[in-house]
Amino acid sequence: MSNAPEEFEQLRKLLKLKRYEQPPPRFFNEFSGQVIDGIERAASRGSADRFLDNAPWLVRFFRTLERNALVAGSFVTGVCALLIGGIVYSEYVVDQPSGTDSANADFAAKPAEVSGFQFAGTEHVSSSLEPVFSTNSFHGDSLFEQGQPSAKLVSWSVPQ
Amino acid sequence: MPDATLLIMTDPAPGKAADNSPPPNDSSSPAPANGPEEESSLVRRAREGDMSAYDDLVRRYQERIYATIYHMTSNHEDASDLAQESFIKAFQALHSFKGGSSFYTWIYRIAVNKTINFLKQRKNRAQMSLNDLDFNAEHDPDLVALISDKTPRRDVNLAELQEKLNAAMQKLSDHHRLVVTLHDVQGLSHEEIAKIMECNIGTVRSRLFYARQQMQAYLSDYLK
Repeated sequence: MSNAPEEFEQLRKLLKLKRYEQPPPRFFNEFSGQVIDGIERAASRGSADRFLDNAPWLVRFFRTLERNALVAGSFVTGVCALLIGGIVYSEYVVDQPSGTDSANADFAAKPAEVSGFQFAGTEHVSSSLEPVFSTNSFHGDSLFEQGQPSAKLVSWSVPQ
Repeated sequence: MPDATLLIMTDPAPGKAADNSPPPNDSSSPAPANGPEEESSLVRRAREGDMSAYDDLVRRYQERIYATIYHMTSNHEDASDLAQESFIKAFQALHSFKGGSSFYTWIYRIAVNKTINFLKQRKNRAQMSLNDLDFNAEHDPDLVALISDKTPRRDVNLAELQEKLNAAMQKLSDHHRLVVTLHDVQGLSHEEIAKIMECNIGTVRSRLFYARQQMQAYLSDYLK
């Protein structure tokens, strides 16, 4: 095997013809602009596209759904069954509160002293069902009193 | 930005094949246009999102990348699309460019891989869409010597010769065509081709020899 220049001299001369093949005029003037446009287009593609690019299994799954009606039907039936099951279950839970829910309700209904909380100067016992910062519940030196709105009657006259 | 093409013409790559000087308007020459420092600076700025820096890099290598792909596909539209895609992919993968090789070797590798993948998919759907020949081809003494014995209608024969040459190249395997393109058309050295193709120099030499042999057989009527 030899790559001596003289061995393929004629062929090499003929191959010089390839170097004279030129793209249309101004092709290279516009080329870099097209590349930059392409980069910006790719960057502005939706996040859904990028997500699908990173999850080829999902693309394959969608393709399978498109091609196979049986699989698509089974998938839709499954999703519908799941949805209906969820609705039925949620209604069942609302109708029959669980044990922990009723326990919480009892605890909330008990006076604060039973729970071990007693605020100084309180006349009204608050529960978790009432607002903590009730304006008529706290008096005296409680820290919670700070910043509470208070109204005072004022009298003033417009100077003559 | 300086005219990269003019700088390329005066700065051939070391180890370049003898008697392989490109014609004055040839845009496909192997050596990087400017110093490596400026190139690394452009790469760094492009990596930080500076599009003007990447625009400079594209302008610097667009002609060589396009020419390589065009000689591989013999189709202008395919070459244009693939060259654009190569530069876009290179930008998107710029964060993974570690600088172990020059940017120009790296972008060449991306373009070559993309082209070979494209050719594998295209298979037998090859359709040539050849670029026009530059008018200077008629005055090239080597080409004139090849055709002047046959007919005085040189322009017609050059076009015919161009078609036969491209058809012969399309008969080569992708890797053989790539070696001929990079060495005999673009003038890259064996070492540079080995880096781009990620193989050893012996493989490059071997592929080049067999590719030339096949080309010589296909074009025997035009090489007397």
